[in-house]
Amino acid sequence: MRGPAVWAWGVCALVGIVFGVFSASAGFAQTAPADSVRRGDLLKKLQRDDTSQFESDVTAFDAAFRDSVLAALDSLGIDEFRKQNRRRPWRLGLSFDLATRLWDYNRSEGFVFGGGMTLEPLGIDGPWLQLQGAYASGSEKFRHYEGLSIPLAPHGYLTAQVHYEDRVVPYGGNRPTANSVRALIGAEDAQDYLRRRGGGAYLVSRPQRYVRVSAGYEASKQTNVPLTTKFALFGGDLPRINRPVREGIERAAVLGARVGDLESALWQVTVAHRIAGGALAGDFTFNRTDVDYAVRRYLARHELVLQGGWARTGGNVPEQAAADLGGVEMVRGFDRRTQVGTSELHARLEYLVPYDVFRAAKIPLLRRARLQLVPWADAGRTWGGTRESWLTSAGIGLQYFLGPFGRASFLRLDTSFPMGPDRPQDVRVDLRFAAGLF
Amino acid sequence: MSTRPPRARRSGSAARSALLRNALWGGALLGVFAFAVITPRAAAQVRERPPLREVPRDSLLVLPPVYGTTDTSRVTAKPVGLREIIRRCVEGERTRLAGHDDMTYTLTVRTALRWRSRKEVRDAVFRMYADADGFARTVQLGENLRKYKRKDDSWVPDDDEESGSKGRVRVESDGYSDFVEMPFFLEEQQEFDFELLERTIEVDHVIFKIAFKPKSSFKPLPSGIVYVDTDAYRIIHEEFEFEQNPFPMFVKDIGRISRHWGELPGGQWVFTKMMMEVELRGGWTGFMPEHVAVALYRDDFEFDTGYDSRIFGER
Repeated sequence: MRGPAVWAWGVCALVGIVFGVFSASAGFAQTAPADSVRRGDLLKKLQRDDTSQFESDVTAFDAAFRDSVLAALDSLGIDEFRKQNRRRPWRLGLSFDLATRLWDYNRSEGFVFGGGMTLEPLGIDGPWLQLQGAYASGSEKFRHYEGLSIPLAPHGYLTAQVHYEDRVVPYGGNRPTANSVRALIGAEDAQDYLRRRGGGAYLVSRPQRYVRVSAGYEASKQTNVPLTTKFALFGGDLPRINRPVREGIERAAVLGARVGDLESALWQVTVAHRIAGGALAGDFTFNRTDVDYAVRRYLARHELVLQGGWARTGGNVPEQAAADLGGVEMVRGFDRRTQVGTSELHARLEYLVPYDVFRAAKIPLLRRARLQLVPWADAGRTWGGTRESWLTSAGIGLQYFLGPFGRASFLRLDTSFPMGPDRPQDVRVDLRFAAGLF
Repeated sequence: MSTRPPRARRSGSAARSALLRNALWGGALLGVFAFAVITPRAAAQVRERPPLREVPRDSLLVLPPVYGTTDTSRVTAKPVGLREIIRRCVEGERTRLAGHDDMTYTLTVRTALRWRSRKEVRDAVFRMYADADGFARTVQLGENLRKYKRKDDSWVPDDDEESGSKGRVRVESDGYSDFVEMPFFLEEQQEFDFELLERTIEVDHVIFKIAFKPKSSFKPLPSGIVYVDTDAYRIIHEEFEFEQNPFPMFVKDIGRISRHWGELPGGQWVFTKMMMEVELRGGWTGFMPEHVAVALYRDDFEFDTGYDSRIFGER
């Protein structure tokens, strides 16, 4: 038995030596780990599989047209190429959408039918002129707005802006989004209005992505406007609006700054300061400082949004510039301008429930509605007014996503429970638009 | 007291046999040693064979450059977690075009609109410029429109409708810039939950497959899967889908959205193709298309050629 065992060991040893030496010298150990693939194979497979899921119209690409226009551009240059295609360098755009400054509905002006245009005589990087005009069905007046923006430095670093307007504008701190829709449908006009005729000139700078600074001068004549319209699709006891303002000419220096961005940077602070009268003359002599802040934070999946503001006034402040509190955008559950004083402070905290509670609970009809729950709490008070007490309220909102339309991204039904001895009612329900933070 | 008996003296043949056996044992052990020890070290040197590198010297001491290779060294480190991978991805994306001052490329946008009985396929061609300062310029050069109508079960060119190409020249600032833009899920990480799904080893490096989805069920943000190459923590493939319809009033469903990346001959990673499909509402009106498919093709990349005002107009 010894002979075969010796030979067996001998063969093993030779194999071991040969394998070991050869593998070391020939780089055999470059062999990849057992679960690896060749370089680039994964990417090719991913792209191949992905492309197969799209229809052929967008996966097959004929480069003939692209090559022809590129060749023409290379031979002619952009100026000659543009001439040959008979395109004008300036742009004219018409706008008849809801975003214009005049297209609106309120109980002072009724329907404000209008349109506008934007003119860019020197191309996209040059100055642009915005013209808007409209006819107000209630007051039977022609309203208009003209604005000119002149870039003084590239990339929006510095821009000069001038505007002139004759229109009816809201005043006060409560500014519900798309208030006109609420007024037209639900007769819930939650703003007061005055007529402003005048203009202003500003320098606006955006030195960084999340920084905007402006300084300017405004002069306008402010007058009361009567109520002319009662129409609403689903009317009721219409709330009284347009408390009288002090009429006169306002000349003011305005300073403003905004830092941060609530959507991207998760926080935002806006500061505005207004000095009227004094050396600037005019009928009003006052100053007002506003600081607004907004912060949002995630705690795991749970998003909390804190918003608030502080305002302080000094001098002989007209009613339309006083610090006020109350309304669906300030302290919910209380009417707008419940408190009016020389200064005010308010805060709102909302918790955006990330789970689809109704779907999880399998509640009939609601489980497919994609309704989001938003518990919230508001608080605020004024100083220097007739009533000085904290206004507090809490409640729960139910919101439905409409689309990425900025401050009107959600349709929100807020059920408010005002607190304290001054509460006007025990429960209040508001339908409004709410901003989306995406 | 026990005593060990003396070892018997071996005969000559037995001694030779023992010598041979010991030699074979030694050879076997040597072979195993060579396989187990030498091979990985050699392999590591082969795999990591660095280029000859110049050892930096004090500038006052002028010595000829010293060349050498680095020995394999054992390094211990914590496993790279998902948070660290994401952080490295952000860094990788920020430095993706580091060292370049500007880039120029051609963008072709293919849009296919489909109604029940007709279809339009439109190609728009753009020449794009972007630089490291954040400046971007887009020049639209023209459009090519082809119209089709349904005949039986296939699409045939519609001779009754006007098709053709036209130069539609438009110069715009602030277009997409590879130097500035970062994938949205890295830019706004706070909105998403990330999950490391799996890894794939490609010979000498790893590709991570990472899934992300919005933290809130109500935000119209896409969820998706991205593949990250650990060579430089670059994104090499992206696929997205929407669980929450971002335009519920106009869009019935947003299908798949994907972005393909590729490595250019110069080593730069750029996205070369993006495709998406959308089902719209209102197709019954005959005015709105029922289906829209869009593809963006990017090619003809050039780097550091400077701003050509003859092509892009005055800056």
